[in-house]
Amino acid sequence: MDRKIDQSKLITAVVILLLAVGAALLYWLYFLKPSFAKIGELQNEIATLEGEIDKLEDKLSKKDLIVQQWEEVREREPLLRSRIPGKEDLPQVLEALEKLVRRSPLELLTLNAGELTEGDRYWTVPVSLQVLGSRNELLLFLKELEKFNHMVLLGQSNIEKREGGHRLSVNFNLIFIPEGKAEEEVGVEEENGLEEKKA
Amino acid sequence: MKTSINLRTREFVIAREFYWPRLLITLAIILVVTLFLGGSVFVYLYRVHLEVETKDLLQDKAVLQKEVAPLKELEAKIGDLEKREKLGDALEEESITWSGLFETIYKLARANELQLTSITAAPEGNTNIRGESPSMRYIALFMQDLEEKQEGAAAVYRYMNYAKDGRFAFELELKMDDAGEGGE
Repeated sequence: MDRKIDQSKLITAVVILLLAVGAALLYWLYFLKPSFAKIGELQNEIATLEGEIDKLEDKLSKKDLIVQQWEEVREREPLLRSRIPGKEDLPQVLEALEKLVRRSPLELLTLNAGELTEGDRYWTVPVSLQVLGSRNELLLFLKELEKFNHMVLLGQSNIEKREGGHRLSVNFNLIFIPEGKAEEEVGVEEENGLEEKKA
Repeated sequence: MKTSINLRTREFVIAREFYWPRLLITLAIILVVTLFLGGSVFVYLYRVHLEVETKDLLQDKAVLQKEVAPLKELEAKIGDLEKREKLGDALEEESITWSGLFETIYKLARANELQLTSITAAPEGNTNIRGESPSMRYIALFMQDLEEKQEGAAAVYRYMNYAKDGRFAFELELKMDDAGEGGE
């Protein structure tokens, strides 16, 4: 009789223990584990956000400095934009080149502008030009071309004596700033700053 | 007179007797359940707190981003202009000008009674000069003058041929260290 009672108690204890373990397992799987994962995720997000906010606040604190910098470079903006134009300024640059040639007393033989070529440092439009005129006029024109408002890199040049004057053949590249490079660099600097902060 | 009769069984009385281990187990179970519930509430509240904090930070970030946007735009413009300036300065140093060199060559040729038919200058540093002269001596003098005027330059002739009408046709090559720095 006593043995039967002991067995029954043991079974009850085992069932209670199993229920407790099962409840704990369910509690871990459906509450604690997702909660800890979510907490970790939120903590990471908060750290990232704090980093970004610090960066933004830092930038905001430099407002006066940035405005001052802008005031300093603003005056030179038209000159710099004209000296190294962007791709979008191509029509104006070609128009200016055409005007330079047509304004001179020289006879235009050929004027070829090639395709815009993208380089690492700058983009170029190759141009080849042939004009006919007196030697002095050609030298004067070459000087004007060298002082052209928009940056040019001269290549091979030739002055040849011809019937009725001299012929100047010159190859040069019109220089353009690579598109979106400055903005990209600002973005990269910001990302670097953020990564440093995280580290 | 009424007499109370104790009808409780012996087991019933023993089960309700004060017994230390039973009390301790009961207290332990209460403690575990309290800790369990308290812990759960704490975890839940902490999670809610973090969610609220994240939401607040996102709002702060959005406000700051609005304030910083014009500054970023200015910075991008400054960066763009600085880049143009740097590139312009670098290319200015790299750029070659031929007009000065051509003027010098023509001036020296005139001084030595030479007639030039062609000058070709290349960025690699070689300049080819072709022309005619009444004497080979003048060509040699012209070469000496060129070397004197263009420091570090070496003038060599490719040919000097007697052509016609008592004139010599010639071709010279002027090799320079720094191309296009010609002129006076």
